[in-house]
Amino acid sequence: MKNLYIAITCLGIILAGCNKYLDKKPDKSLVIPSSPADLQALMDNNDVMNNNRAAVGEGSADNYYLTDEDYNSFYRESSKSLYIWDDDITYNDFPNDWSRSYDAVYYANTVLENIDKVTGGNTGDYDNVKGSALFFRGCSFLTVLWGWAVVYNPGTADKDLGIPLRLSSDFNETSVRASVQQGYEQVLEDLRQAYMLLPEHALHAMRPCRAAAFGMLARCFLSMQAYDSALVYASRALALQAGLMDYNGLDSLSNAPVPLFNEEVMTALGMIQSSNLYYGKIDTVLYNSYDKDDLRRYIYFTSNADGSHSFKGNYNNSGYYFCGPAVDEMYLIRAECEARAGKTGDAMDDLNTLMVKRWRKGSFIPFAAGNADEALKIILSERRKELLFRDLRWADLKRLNLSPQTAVTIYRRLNGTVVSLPPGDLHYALPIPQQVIALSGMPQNPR
Amino acid sequence: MSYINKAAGLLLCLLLCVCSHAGQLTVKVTDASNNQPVAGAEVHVAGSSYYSLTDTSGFASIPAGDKGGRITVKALGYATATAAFSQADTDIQVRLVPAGASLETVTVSTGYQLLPKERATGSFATIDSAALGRQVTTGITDRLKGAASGLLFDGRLKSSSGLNVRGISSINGPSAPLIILDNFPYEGDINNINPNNIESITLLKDAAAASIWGAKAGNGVIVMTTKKGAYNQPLRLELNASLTYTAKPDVYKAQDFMNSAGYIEVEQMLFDNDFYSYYESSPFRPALSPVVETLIQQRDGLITPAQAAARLDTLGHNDVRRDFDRYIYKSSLQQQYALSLSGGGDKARYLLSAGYNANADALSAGYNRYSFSGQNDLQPFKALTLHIGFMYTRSKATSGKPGWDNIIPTAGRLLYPYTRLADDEGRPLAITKDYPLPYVDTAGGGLLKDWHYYPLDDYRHNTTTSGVEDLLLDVNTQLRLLPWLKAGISYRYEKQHTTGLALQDAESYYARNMVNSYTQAGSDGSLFYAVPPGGIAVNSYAAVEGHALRAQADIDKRWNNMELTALAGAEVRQTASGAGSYTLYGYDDATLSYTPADVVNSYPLYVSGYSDYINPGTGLSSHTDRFLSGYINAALSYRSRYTISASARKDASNLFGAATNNRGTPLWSAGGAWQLNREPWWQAGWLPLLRLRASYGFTGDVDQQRSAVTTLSIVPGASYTNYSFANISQFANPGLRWEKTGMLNAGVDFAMKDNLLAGSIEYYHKHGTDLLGYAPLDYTSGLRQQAIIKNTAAMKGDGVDATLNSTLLKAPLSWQVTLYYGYNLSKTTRYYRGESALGSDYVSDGNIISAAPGKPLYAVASYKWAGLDPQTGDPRGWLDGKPSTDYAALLQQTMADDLVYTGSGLPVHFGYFNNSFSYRQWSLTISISYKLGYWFRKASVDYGQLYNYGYMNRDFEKRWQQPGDEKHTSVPSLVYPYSSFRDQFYNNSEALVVRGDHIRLQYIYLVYNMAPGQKHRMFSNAQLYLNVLNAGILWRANKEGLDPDRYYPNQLPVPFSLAGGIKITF
Repeated sequence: MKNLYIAITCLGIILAGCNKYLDKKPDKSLVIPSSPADLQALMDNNDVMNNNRAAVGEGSADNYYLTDEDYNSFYRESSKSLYIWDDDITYNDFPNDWSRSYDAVYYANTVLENIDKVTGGNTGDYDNVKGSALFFRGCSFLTVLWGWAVVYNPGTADKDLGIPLRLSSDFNETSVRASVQQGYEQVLEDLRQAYMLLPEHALHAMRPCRAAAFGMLARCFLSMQAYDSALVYASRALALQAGLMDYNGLDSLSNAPVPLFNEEVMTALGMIQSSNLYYGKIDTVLYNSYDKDDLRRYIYFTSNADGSHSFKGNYNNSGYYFCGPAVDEMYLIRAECEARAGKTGDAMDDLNTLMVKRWRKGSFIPFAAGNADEALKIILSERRKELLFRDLRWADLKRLNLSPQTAVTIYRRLNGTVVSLPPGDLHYALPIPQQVIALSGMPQNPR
Repeated sequence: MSYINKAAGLLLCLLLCVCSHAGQLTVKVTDASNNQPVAGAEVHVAGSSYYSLTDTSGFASIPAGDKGGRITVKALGYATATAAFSQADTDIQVRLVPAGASLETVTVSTGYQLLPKERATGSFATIDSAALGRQVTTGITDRLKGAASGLLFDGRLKSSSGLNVRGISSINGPSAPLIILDNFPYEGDINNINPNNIESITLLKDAAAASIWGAKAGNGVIVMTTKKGAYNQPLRLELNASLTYTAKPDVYKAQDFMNSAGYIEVEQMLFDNDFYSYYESSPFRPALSPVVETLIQQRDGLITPAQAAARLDTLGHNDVRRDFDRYIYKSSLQQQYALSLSGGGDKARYLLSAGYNANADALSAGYNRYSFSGQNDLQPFKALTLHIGFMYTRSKATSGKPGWDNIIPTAGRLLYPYTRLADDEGRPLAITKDYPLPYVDTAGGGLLKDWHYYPLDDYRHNTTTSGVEDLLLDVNTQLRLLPWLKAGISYRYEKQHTTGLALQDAESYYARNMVNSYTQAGSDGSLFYAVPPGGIAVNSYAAVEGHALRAQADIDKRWNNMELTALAGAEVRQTASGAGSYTLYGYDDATLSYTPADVVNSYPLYVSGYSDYINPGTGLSSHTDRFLSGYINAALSYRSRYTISASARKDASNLFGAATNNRGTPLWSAGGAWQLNREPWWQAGWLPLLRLRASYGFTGDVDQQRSAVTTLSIVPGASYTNYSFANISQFANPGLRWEKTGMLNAGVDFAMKDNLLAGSIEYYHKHGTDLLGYAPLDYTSGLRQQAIIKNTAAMKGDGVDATLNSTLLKAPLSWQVTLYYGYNLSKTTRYYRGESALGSDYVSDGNIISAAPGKPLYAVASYKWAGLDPQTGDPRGWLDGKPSTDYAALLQQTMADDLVYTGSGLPVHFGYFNNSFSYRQWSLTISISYKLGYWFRKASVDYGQLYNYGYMNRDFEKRWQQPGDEKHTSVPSLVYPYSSFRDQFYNNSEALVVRGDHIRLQYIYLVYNMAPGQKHRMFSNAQLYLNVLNAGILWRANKEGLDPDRYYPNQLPVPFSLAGGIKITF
């Protein structure tokens, strides 16, 4: 019996030590976020946060075309559908542009939910990581709005179907579509908070900085046709970062002539690799619009054996096409907004500040415009020529189509047939993946 | 004189006595069921090295000692019997009980206790060393084939052994059974275990048997017991040596092949459609096949059409299989040696063993293994036992040649069927690799390293060696405190250390390509190497260290007609593993010199000009699993007729982030048995054994990978920034629970008179709840996955395990038949899938758990097939009741209910049919396995994959080519432009579902027992044996000649092997 007591006593001692023994974490590299550094590490996952931006907008836009041969050789049906604005894109591969846009949102939400719970570090660490999360989330929502919602229309935005605004990391929460108005407000809210927190100079171009937040705000307002606000934020961005590369210093013979993290880059964001863009040939009319002395003709494009041209002017110098805010874009936004405000002179000054860095040394004749309308026309043309393959064209088409002066119908010529997309077509809001619709019960974009 | 006479008489008398007793003892061995003599039985005098075999009349004579002793008698088909003889005996009779009826005398090991099977209420199956010896293989698991019921080898899993006990109960958690070596779970690589060291294996199949193992026992438990010495036995030496010959794999049987002419036709067609124009213009310069290169040269006027035609004609006559057959694959030899020394006195027993295996495989890859083990038991006084054991294994594997499908021209692309690996003289030829041949011929103008790839030479420069060292130490001690109470402590230490070196020397393609890719050529011809020239070595290590400590009390108390067996204990276990790897650039193995590479900055790539970073190639990980368990187990018998048993166990683990109250899970079982034939009223003389038993209980399963809180995994060196970055590795799931499996088992054990039929039949019902399953996820949640694993599903399964033995003939020619039969059909009963009823979410080849409630757990689900379109050869499905070729709609609009569920992807009926014959010194066992009642989906043509990645399939030749073909083929026509939806539909359609049923000749085992006894004093026993493995399929339901266990198109059939060996006991 005595032995039994001893055994029981031993067992008691063992059990008391149990909980401590079991507190050992199974995997050393696993952590529960406990410091701002842990959360910063999430934001530094640039495969998720930076180079994970939807490419469906650029893939739907008219900067490129596919030859019948290339189109026919495509393996992914979603790539084919995207090209001809066909709804079969809803039968999607995974991961896809929709899911990947929200990956960054989840990471950002995880940071935002934990930032007040973690300890250690200094105030700057907290501000930087929280600002980064807000910046990335705002960017993601904006990209999704551009791709999958109709254009921002001040009259109807509070009724138009927007996108799911996921603001918590609880994956059990059902996705619901907020209105377009709510969507843009959320983007503005995130980015405004972000710029207050982000540092003027980030440690690395992959980390968000204040100029980039201003830049994204300018972008967002521009797509809302809120040109006064866009002008304000473009100026604020330029006040922090205004350096331009002189293209005369770049090697146009290189396959990747634009240096990585160059001085125009505010924060480096990259689009998901897309065969549409790789295989895409530059629209012939667009290519021919570049002057012989316009260095962009040589820096941006490479000639193919068949006489067509492919894009090589990627600011990311890799397979991820750059789509982050940059100095050249800010000059163009400001110039456009100035022109729209009737300030022709300021507009042309901004444009020429940029353009002189793009033309062959000594050959540049400053652009001139007799009136604001003329200025706007020139600026929009140069905007397209400067910022192609930056995920801006699709949003530009959507907003410019609202005005008859700038509206265009775009076409795809394929295997002897022509598919057209007139201004205001419902297909300007891409179909949401069918699996998402099936699981969430959200309404699909109407057709 | 009289004294002298008296003395002489007495002496004579004494002498006579001594002589007669030191002389021969005659042993007669008979069959207990019919009193017929048993021939060929092995008679062994305990404590001596003496063996003898009985003759045809069942007699054997042995030298008897002068003070009596014990003999052990073994014979095929009978339970081993022992008998004592005294000084006075001159002849004794031993009655052998036929094996089937001997179920009641078998002892089973649960890893916690040794239990007489007659008092077990649970389901156990025991496999003895003789059964394990019938298949000569390097690993132990292969030897379980054909040795028990309820054990299924799922051949569809390429990586693992696919072993499962009574079907799988974990849906997405770990699905392998728990392996116990002696008292504790074995944490190392199962291949470390030398099969010659294993005395027996017990399968714990139901909850009453396995619940003692608690968590992790949900998929069944396999208990391996090592050989031990025997008390009071002089030194005994056993030697076992064998040589196995394995035939050359038949590469001509590959399913993923197309003839060269057909392949060239496809390439020509694609070229005519400008399929390759992008490849030609890409800055990445992707490789193009020799045929496409030829067509380009012809188009560009570099060669004449006649030259091109001649070149294509030559290529069209090549067959890469010929080169694989001639230069790559070989027949191979495996050697096995095992030596053991054992013995013991009154107070100690010991066994020391050593084993050596040396294998070479068909690709000349080497494997050798040394294993040493020692098992010592001490019994300094009656009440105390002490066991000290060790097992040490050291193995080394070296890589060989690249096999079928391992020579890859360019990432993601398969080898062209017209590739030549060697020229007519057998010299290695360069094949197309990452860049076009014309490009690498001239790139760098001679300044770069040779950029060609020679597969037949490259493997010499690209070697992987890995070594595993495993040490196991066991210490147990048990003290008898009271006649009925024992207390014991057991401790196990295990350490496995694995080291690997993947060496790509300076001559290897990989190293040359890396150096060239990062070379920058200055305009003055100077070269800058970002990747230092030389070899590239990746060193890696992994270590697993486990401690397990157990304290246990055992009770064995008898009073009146009652007997109580009980045990209670507590256990603590920790397994810590760590791994790491690092890469050395500019490495020279001869001098161990290397040059650090700059992994921080990006460098332009030579070919594309894009900037890229050099992979630092480092990684570290560390993992610790901890378990705390308490358990209790008791069985109470009355008059040896009625037994009831119960067990309970609670496990707790350091499941990361789990709330403390969820760390532990209580599991229990209860059972009863009734031995009818021991009832006084039992009259059925024809049925001397009849026992009924039933049990019910729970086992659990836990996946240490899951977590209840958001956890990050920190990774060093983000691209571009080189900062540490984090991935979210677990998404907070506060509702995480342990998987639980309940099992009801009911069985009958019986033996008929004369052993006409004996065995056991069991029925079981399994139901799993809280099973970890994939729940589809609205990926707007941003989890980077379409589904999340959570406790989401429930399943139930019914099964039957039967073992039937029958002795059809007795000596001199004996014939014994054993049938193992398993039936298992598990179904999904509940599965959370949200709102989605899209058919595409349910289509399955039967290799993943089906989410369709009411369907088999591994249901084969397909799109309904409407045949080929008679006009175009397009595959057709059903849409709104009409045949349709709208593939996008077929894939998107087919609902789960519209799918065709053919049946289970796992065999529903399976088992083995073994026949054993023995005649004089010969015995022969033939084992036949069968798997019935299941389906699989065979691979077929996928045109999109063929065009883009070069995936081939023999079905190409059977494709629809003209109207009328649809009557005898279901392989769609070749089309371009193509739709991958069309391929996807066809490859997931009913048309490719094939019956998996087949019968296989599992093994043949022939032994010749060399006549022992006086004539061969050198040794006491010797056996010569021959073993045939993988002898082939005897019958299969499919007409295509596919092996359903290896139907992956890129798997070659397992070639047959023949082993011969000798086993000698000194």
